[in-house]
Amino acid sequence: MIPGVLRVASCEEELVRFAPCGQSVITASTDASHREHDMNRSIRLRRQVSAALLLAFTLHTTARAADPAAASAATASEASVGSLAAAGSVVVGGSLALLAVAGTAVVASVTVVGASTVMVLRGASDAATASVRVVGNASLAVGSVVDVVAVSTGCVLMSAGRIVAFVPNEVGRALVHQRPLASLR
Amino acid sequence: MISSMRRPVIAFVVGAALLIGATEPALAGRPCEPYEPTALSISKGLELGKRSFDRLDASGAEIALIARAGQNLGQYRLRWSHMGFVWRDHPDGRWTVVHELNGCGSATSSLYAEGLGSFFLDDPFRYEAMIVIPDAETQRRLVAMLRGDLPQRMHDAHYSVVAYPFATDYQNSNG
Repeated sequence: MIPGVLRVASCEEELVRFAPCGQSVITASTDASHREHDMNRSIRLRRQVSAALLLAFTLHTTARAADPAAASAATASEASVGSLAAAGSVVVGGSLALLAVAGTAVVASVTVVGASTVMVLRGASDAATASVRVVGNASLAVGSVVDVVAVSTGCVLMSAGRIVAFVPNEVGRALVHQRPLASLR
Repeated sequence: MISSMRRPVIAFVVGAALLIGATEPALAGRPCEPYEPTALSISKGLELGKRSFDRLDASGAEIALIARAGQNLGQYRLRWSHMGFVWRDHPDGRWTVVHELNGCGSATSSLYAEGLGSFFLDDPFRYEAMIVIPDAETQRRLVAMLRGDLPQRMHDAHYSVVAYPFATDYQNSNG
């Protein structure tokens, strides 16, 4: 293990640079319109901060202390317990993989089970089916068309352009979880 | 702009954050506006989480600090809006982020243990992460701190968007 700084970007480019502590980190941006600004800014920061460890801490701390107006203008952090952070959808029967190949399925049945809803999805050929348990009310009627979009971390179920559920695979399950830690004060 | 006169103070703040560990200076950074996820935003957020996971694995580190660009703070000449600890051997799963969040629009906060995918799921301004790997001794001390209940004992739910590390009556998700 070597102390240093990594920067990671998603999708379009692999934007990872590594530098030992105290040295510079400059990356390109995934957004070309930000590239020049970002590089100039990185260079400026490199000269101002004596150790790479300081970077993220110092930037914000300085601005907050010096400019309360800026602080109040910025949005506070949000505990996103909802949305997909709580994605608890699981396949309880059949396979989504076959449906994902076809890309669409039809809701064959909807059953409320306690605080969850179990949807049976059927492919156009009737040969492929999958039962998916969704936390809460899926709000889908029998006969609704569902798009099944495979991503590297699982399957996204969409209907009429809206996300119905995210069903994580093994990789996704390792990435998507959240729980509050009880305060002891 | 960071003046040279401010550097000693900054260094102290960072040192306190790393060695005491319960506070992390910098802003938070998830937008409060209602957000409707799309297949693309889910894919990109989780992909960034996966890439960060893989990079952390490859680094050989046991613990690191991870930052995200949840909001556009360019008008303040800031890039990263939030930071937390990411610990390889967290009981909740490999490479779990431990950080403070406040409820949107509220003045109270909680500490959370969160997967790397969840960390990037809420439509960040840029799908980028910064990972800071401390030296081995600092890692050892940070892990010892997270293994115990020091963060929970030091956490104060009184929250302010202003990150002032010397405040005694409130905390911020980054300081």
